Amino acid sequence: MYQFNLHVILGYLHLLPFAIGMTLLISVQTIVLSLAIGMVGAICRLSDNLLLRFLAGAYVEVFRNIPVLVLVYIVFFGMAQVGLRVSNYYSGLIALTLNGSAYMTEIFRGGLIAIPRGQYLAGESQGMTQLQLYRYVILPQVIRIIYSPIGNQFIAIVIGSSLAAVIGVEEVANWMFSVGNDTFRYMESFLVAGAVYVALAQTINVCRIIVGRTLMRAPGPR
Amino acid sequence: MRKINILLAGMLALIMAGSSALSAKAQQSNIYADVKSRGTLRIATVAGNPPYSSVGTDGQPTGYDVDIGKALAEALGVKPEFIIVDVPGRIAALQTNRADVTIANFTATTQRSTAVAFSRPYVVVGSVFLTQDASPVKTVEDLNNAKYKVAYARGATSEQTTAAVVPNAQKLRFDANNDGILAVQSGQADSVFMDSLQAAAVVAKEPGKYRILPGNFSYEEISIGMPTGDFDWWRIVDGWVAQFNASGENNKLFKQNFGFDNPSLKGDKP
Repeated sequence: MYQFNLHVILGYLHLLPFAIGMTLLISVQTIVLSLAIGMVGAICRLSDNLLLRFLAGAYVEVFRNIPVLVLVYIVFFGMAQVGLRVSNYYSGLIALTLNGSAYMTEIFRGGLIAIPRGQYLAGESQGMTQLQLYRYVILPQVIRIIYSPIGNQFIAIVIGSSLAAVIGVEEVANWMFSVGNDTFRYMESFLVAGAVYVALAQTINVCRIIVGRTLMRAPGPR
Repeated sequence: MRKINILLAGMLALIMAGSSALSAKAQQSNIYADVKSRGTLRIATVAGNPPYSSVGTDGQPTGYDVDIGKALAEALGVKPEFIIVDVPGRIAALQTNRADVTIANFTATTQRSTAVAFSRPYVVVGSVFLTQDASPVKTVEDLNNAKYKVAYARGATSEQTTAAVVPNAQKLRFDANNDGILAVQSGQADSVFMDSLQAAAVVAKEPGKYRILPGNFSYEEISIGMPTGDFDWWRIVDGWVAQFNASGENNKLFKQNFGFDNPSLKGDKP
């Protein structure tokens, strides 16, 4: 029978804040980059330009269909084989962003095509410029539609960041493996890491909800 | 309401009966009896660690450790069943009773002995630093420099030795030795700290590509791991290893996989 003993892990808890910081850093950077690339990607996917549409489509289909673990290896080891040596942190960031932005593109695209054609026509009939049309009519609605799926993607990115441990990025999964290896209390380190990931994912989720409440408050009387 | 109470009481009784049956089984646990009644020996081994163990192109595990597992199962008159685990899994698989033995380039250490049991060693190795032959690094002293990166598989012994020998070098931790070698090959690391015999096999495989820095930094008795608390099981496996070492079978399997004689068997080769 496995004797559970969390006590042994206590000596390693002081290393955990750094690991959590690293997980948060790589996750938040990935989220910001994926949002930006995803937005551009979605606009390209819906563009009238055939080349842009093809390129964005190919980007999504390639990077959405390669597991992050494989991407991490390709960026870190594969690119180094042809002389492009990216450090392990940036390899992890690039791999996570390639995958995350492919999903974000699809989420944004889903939001954009959910807006009925009439909304565009209505905006144009009011004499709005393209910028005004998107700023005041389309995007506020798109944000409401994609808000939940984007939350899923944020959590997927936080959880996916654990794969950076395979190339030695010193985040929470790396802490988990190292502590397990040092103490041989693997189950305990797995459970602590699992709890940390739940907390991190929930933190990001709560932030998203708070930001959403503020951004999407119904306009008050003028 | 009454019916629900009766139902609940019944369920409680069932759960209690179940748990007492489980604890009774745990007390008289005998791994050998389980192996015999199951007809298979569950062997935990790692992938991506040639020539000790790796997964072949046909999806079947292959290598020195795998051959040892097959020989042990044959001696016990059962079929081998390989469970591929990672480095942490070597201990976890035994602790959680998912494997009967771990044969996976597994060094017996005092610290590990508090978590699992070990047989006598079937091979003794050291640890060395491997670099590309073209590397400017000639000695371990050269390597102890913040501009160089040293890769190794996560583990207490590698962690301590690299911290003591090359404290100034940057460290790059991986799950498997193969990733460390790949890092050196691709230029992501300047050196990998690894098993000496495995390093010798890497050098022999591609002559002129790699070089081992002078110096040996550990003494590691590679042994078969078992769950703790079953003395009879330990006695059976340990006795088998003694026979395996002395009969020449060990050297035969070693040579098949490494291409040279098992250097730790010099004394007791027949």
